[in-house]
Amino acid sequence: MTGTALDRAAIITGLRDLVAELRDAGEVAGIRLVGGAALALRYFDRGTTQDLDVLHISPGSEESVAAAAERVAYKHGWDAKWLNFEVTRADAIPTLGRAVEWETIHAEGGIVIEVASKEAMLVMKLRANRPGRDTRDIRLLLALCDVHTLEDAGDLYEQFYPGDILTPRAEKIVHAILDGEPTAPPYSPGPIDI
Amino acid sequence: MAASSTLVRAARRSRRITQARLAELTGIDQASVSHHERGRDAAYSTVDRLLAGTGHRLYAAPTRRDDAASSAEAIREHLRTNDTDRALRALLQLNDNLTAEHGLVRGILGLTEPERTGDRVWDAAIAALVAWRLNQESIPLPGWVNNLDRTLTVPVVFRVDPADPAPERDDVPDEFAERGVLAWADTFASV
Repeated sequence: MTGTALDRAAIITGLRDLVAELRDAGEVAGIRLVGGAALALRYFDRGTTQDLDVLHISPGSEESVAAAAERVAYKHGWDAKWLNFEVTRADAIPTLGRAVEWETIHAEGGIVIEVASKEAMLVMKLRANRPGRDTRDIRLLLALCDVHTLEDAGDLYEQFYPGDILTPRAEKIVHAILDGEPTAPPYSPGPIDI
Repeated sequence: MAASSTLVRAARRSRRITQARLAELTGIDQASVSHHERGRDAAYSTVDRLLAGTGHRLYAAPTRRDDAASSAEAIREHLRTNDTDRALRALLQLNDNLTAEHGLVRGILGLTEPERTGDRVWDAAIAALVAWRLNQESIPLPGWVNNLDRTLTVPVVFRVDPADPAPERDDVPDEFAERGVLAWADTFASV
């Protein structure tokens, strides 16, 4: 780990310690990962900042997950808020259209950790479309999801966000990606052993 | 965590003194200065002597977040391996660190002049980011932030991926535009 970011190995260590903390406290929990850390963990090699966008689902409570995360942070000298629940409140997860598929990466003793599907990750990145920050993710997710036209990208977006369309900036980014050198689907970053 | 080697190197370069001169000033041989700056652990007393030679001293700040000098070092390492994605993540982490702190503590994160990253656009972007976040709380700016050599004479679109669109002037924070770095404010926005 560098002083400024959690790398993939540190994310896995953090989640492993989080599971151990919850288990020791006799807690159960459902944790869903989205955002950059989820991409680095499950889909492709990528840098991350020092927080993991998560949402808590039944069973258990957000408070007990946050408390366990704080103990993990203290142990490693990380920011106490390395698990970031703001994504739930920021309305970034699609809820009105096609249901987001979740892939289970850990399930033991009532503690379940899931990662959003690549299609859901793509539409969330298209929604954010922050230049620099999201462009490479969009590029690699388009390749992973086998999306090769602006129209297909728009269709997928509308499945998850019905009645909504890609913003002009998102369109511009997708167009520039598809218009440039072809992007090969990225290699898997490897197994996730929590 | 800030490495003591980063602190010493950034302090020495901000005073424009060579390793040889620092060795002379501190009585520590040049090979040891060089080894330490390349990351070898040193005793606190040695770090303190090296910093004293540059006219600096250590204080404890009430934060665990990395400052601009540490972030710049991470950026420099990533740029050296052409990993602009991770360089950007390090810049975004600096942004998150600055916005998470307030008042003087935020100012402290920008106090030490970072080393050059080897890329003038990124050097200007680091200065712009620190100026932007400090100005937001009317915190006085450290002198290095306004060094002319951290301003691009010809404005450049801050492109990390070839597909990044060029911003309009209104999309760019003033502190970036003034330094010729055409970066979107949105790049630094959380979800």
